[in-house]
Amino acid sequence: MNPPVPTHSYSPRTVSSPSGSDDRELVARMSAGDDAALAQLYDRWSRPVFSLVLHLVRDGDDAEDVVEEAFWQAWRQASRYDGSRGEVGTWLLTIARTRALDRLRSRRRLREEPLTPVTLDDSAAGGATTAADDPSVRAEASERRTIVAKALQTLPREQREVLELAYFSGLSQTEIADRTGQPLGTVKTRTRLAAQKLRDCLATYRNDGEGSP
Amino acid sequence: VSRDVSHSEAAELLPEAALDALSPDDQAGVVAHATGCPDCGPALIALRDALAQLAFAAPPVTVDAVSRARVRTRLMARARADLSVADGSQVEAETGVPAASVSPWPPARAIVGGAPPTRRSWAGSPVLGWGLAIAAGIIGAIAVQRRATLDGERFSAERTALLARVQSLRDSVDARDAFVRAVTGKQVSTMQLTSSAVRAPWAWMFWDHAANRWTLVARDLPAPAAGKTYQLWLVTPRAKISAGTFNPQPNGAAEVQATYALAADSLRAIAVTEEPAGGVPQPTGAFVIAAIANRPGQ
Repeated sequence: MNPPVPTHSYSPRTVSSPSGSDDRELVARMSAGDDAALAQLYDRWSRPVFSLVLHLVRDGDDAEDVVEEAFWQAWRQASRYDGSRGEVGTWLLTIARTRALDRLRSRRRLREEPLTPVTLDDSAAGGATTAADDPSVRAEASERRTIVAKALQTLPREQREVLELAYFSGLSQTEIADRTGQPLGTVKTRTRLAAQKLRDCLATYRNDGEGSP
Repeated sequence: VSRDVSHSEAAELLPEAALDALSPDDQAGVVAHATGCPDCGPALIALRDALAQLAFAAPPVTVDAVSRARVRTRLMARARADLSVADGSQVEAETGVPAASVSPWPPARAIVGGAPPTRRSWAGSPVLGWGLAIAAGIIGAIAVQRRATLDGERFSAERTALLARVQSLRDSVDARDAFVRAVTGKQVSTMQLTSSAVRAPWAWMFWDHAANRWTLVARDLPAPAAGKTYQLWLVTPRAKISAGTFNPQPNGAAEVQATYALAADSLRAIAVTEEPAGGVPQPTGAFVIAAIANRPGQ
């Protein structure tokens, strides 16, 4: 008999998004070959994507390449976007993170760079806050940042640390264990608990948000 | 590479899989299991989406507007190129003719056809079957090779055209940069040329002493008479030196550049005269506009 997989009331749409339907329409137009829709999506989302990518790769030239490749992948795979699996912004940022981590790993292989963990407290990649071009995206990004920061604060420090090392530095569990000096099993447990708790927190905040006027 | 992952193992590894933090074979194994598992599939999607929210926690950074614009330009160029290729494929799909080219091959049936064989003598013949199969194979191979060649030629031509266009734009930008340098350099002195004519043409001369570069910017010049042209002169105590001929645009604007080494204190005047087309060694016409040079120190 299969062991049960914990089920939750979590829905991928963690934050209400007035611009979400617009984004989905843009992606639908992209899948039909409308490059103007790609331009609009870029104008709406390039700042958050750039922020994430710069935070990860920490090099302007590399960031440009990665952002371009991320949006290019979105253009080519627009027809495969499934709205039931998450919002467009999340989809874009996931693509961008994956490409950025690919670039980081490639750079490490080529230059044998040491692993340089990136954390949310590290501001070397930038500094000043800038507004997104699209007010709705700016507001949405700001809202999400607040919610995610709130959710992260509920995690014990060591769980938050492994989550950040895995997400923002792309470190494997073994690399995190080496980095933190913790047993691999402990790292795995912390990662699992952190991911599950984050998911539950975000679901809770979402439900609270929906209940509010 | 993927390995078989049991349900219990996959369920345990879902958070790490959602972070792409597993080894490649483990990652592929968990994803493969989750794809077909009614429990693990949705759970993996939910975890992935929750963890993807971490992207919003990245501190917003200052992004250079030029950098964003550069990426946008490259991205849109790629998208347009992608669309043009797609359009070609669509035309090809609809017509059977390779896009942007004319098929050198007549329809296959015309090649294989000719005088149709009689059924009585050839129908069911294994020789005919093998012959047709071999012929079709050869034709197919040639067509594929020819298509590849045509594609290569087309892309090569497009690349050449694009490179030429890029070079042309670079030349334009270089020329504009040179113009701006010529009129804004630290060692550039200026002289205003005026006229008493009704239309009141006027001009500025920018003399870049370091580069020996002369740039005349004129406005409201009347069109020269038929068979005539304007000629620019640098007047020194000993000579009137031609700095070239020019014709203004229909709106009276003209920008002329010349390179000529001249001692800083030897210029007495700048003048534009109307002369026979092709220019003359020494001025013969009346001054259209002129300026007395500023003396050094003025």
